[in-house]
Amino acid sequence: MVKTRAEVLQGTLDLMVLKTLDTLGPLHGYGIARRIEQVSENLLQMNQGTLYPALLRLEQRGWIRSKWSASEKNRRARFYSLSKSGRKQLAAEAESWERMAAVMARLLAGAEGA
Amino acid sequence: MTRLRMALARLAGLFQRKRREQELDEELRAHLEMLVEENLRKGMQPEEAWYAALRAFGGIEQVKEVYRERRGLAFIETLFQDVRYGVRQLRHAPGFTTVAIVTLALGIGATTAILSFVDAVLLNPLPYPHPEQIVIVFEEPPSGGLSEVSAPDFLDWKRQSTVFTAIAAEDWGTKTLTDAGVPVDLSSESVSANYFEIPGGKAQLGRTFAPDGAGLLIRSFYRLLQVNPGFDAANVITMGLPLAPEQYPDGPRIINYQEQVLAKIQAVPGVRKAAITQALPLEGWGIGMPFLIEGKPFVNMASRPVCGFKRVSPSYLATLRMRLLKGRWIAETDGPGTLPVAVINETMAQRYFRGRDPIGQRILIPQITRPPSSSSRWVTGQPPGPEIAWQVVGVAEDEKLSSLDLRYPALYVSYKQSPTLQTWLAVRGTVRSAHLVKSIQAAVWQLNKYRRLTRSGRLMRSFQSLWVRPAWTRRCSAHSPVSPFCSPPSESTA
Repeated sequence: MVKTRAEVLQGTLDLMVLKTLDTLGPLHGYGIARRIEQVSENLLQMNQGTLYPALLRLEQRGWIRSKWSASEKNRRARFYSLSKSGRKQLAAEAESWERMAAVMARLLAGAEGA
Repeated sequence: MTRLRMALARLAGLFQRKRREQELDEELRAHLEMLVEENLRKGMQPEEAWYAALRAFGGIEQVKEVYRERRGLAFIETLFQDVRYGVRQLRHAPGFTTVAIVTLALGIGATTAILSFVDAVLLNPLPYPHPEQIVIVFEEPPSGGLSEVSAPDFLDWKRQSTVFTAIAAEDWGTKTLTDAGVPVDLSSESVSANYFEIPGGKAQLGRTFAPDGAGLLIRSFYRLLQVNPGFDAANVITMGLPLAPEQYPDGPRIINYQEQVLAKIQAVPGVRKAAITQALPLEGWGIGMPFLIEGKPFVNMASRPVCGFKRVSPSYLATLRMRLLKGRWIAETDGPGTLPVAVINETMAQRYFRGRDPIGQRILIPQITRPPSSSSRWVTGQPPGPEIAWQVVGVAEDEKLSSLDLRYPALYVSYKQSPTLQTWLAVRGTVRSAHLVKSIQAAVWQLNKYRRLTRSGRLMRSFQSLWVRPAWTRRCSAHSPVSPFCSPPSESTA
C-alpha cells in the first residue's frame, strides 16, 4: 500500500478552516494549521502560508472574524473565530461535501465491483 | 449582506494598506516563531528549527503576494460582479428602480441647486471687497411687509446714522432714449451720487457721479415725484413738426396745413387724441409776451410783466388731460374772424386778477410779427406790432413748465387766432408704443414729403423721458430748456 501525501483540493481548505474554528473556537493561523495537520495525520501536503489568503477570503466574505489578542504564551497573535453566517456556510458546505464524497464513494465502489 | 460586507472590507483594505501590511508581517512572523518554537521543542537545533519552519510555511513572499492580490485587485474584479448583480436586481424590480432613480435625480438636483445658492449667497456673494459689509435697508410699515424708503428718511439716515460708512439710494425704473429715431425704453437705476462708493466700483469708461452735482439729484427727483405736473403724460407721444416759412408764407396756409395734419393723425388707428402746440409740456412756453390788463393804468412796454403765450389747438386740453378750473376752453369755432379769446392759467389768475373774476376781462398783448433778425426786441422795449385784446374765457390748472416747482403766469390762445410755424405734436394713444410713432409719421408724410419734414421725425420724444429732465438739467448743468422769455427764431405774421 503506497502512502501518498495528497494536495489540498481546490475549495476544501475553506471547509477545513471553518470546521476547525467550529470545533476549537477562536484560534490563530498557526493553531489552525497545526489542527489540520494533526487531523490529517500528515496525509495532507500543505504549505501553512497558503492558509492566510484563505483566511482573508473567508473574512472578506464575513464567515469568520479576526481579533488581535494574546496567545497562551502571551504572544500577540491574530485570533480567528466563526461568525453566524460562517456557521451557516459551514453547514451548507459540509452537506455539499458529504454529498460529493458519497457520490465519489459510490462511483469508486461501483468501478471496483466491475 | 455578504457582498456588502466583502465590498466594505475590501474598501477598508484599500485605505488602510500600510497598517494592513504591518499586521500581515506581524501575523506571519508570529506563525513562524511558533513553528520554530515547536521545532525546538522537538529537539532541533535553532538553525535547523528555523529552516524547517520556513519549509513548512512555504514561500513567505509568495504568500504575501497572493494575500495582497486578494486584498486589492480582487476588489476591482468583484466590484464588476457587484455591479452586474446590482443591475440584475434592478431589472427585476422596475418600480423600485424608477423610484430610486427619480429619488436620486431629485436629490442630486436639489443638492446642486442648494449648493449653488449657498455658494452664490453665503460663500461667495458679491464681487466686491468686503461684501459682508453691504446691506440693503427697507422700512417696515406697521401693516407688515417691506416698503421702500422715503427720500426724507434717506436723507435723515445719511446725516444721522453712525453705523454705516456710506449710505446710497437707488430706484429702479424705465427711461426713454430719444434723439435716436424711434424712442427706446431702457431699464434704468436712479442712484444717489455716492452710490458707487458702496461696492467700491469704478466706471469702466468716464467717471461716476461727483458729490456736489448729483447730491441734489435724489432730492430733486423726490420733489419731482411729489409735484402734480398738471397733465397726464401716460401714453402720450410727441414729435416735432417744423414748417418751412417758404412753404407756408402766411397764416391761412399755416392753419390749413396744421388742420390737415391733425385730421390725418386723428384718423390713425390707436390714436385717441392729437394736438398741436407751440411748445410741449415741460419745455417752456415757446414765447413770452409783455401784457397789460385792459382798464389798468398804462405801463411802458419795457416795464410790463411778461406771461407765457402758448398757441395750441383746441384738442390740447383733452390730449394732455389738463383740468379746466373755470369758464370754457378754446373752441374750434374760435378762428381768424372771431373775437380773440384766451384761457389763462391758475397762476395768472391768482397773480393778476386777485379777488376779481378774470372771465370777460381783456388782456392787451402786442401782435407777434416775425422779427427781422433777433428776438431781443421785447427787451429793448419797442412794440413789434399793434396790440390785440384777448378776452379771457376760462382758467386752466397750471401746466408745469421747465421747472416743476416754478409757477409762471401764462395764457393759451388758438393756433388759428395766432398762427405759428413752430409746431409740436402731442398724441395720446390707446397704448404707448413705438409702432404708433411710425404710423403717425406715415400719416404726416401723406401730406408732405419734403425732406425738412422727414428730418423732423428725429425730434420725436416722449414725455416720459422729459419727466426727470428739467430738475436734472437745472441742478446738474447750466443748460436750460427753452425759457419763457426766449422767442423762437422763426415766426410768421398773424
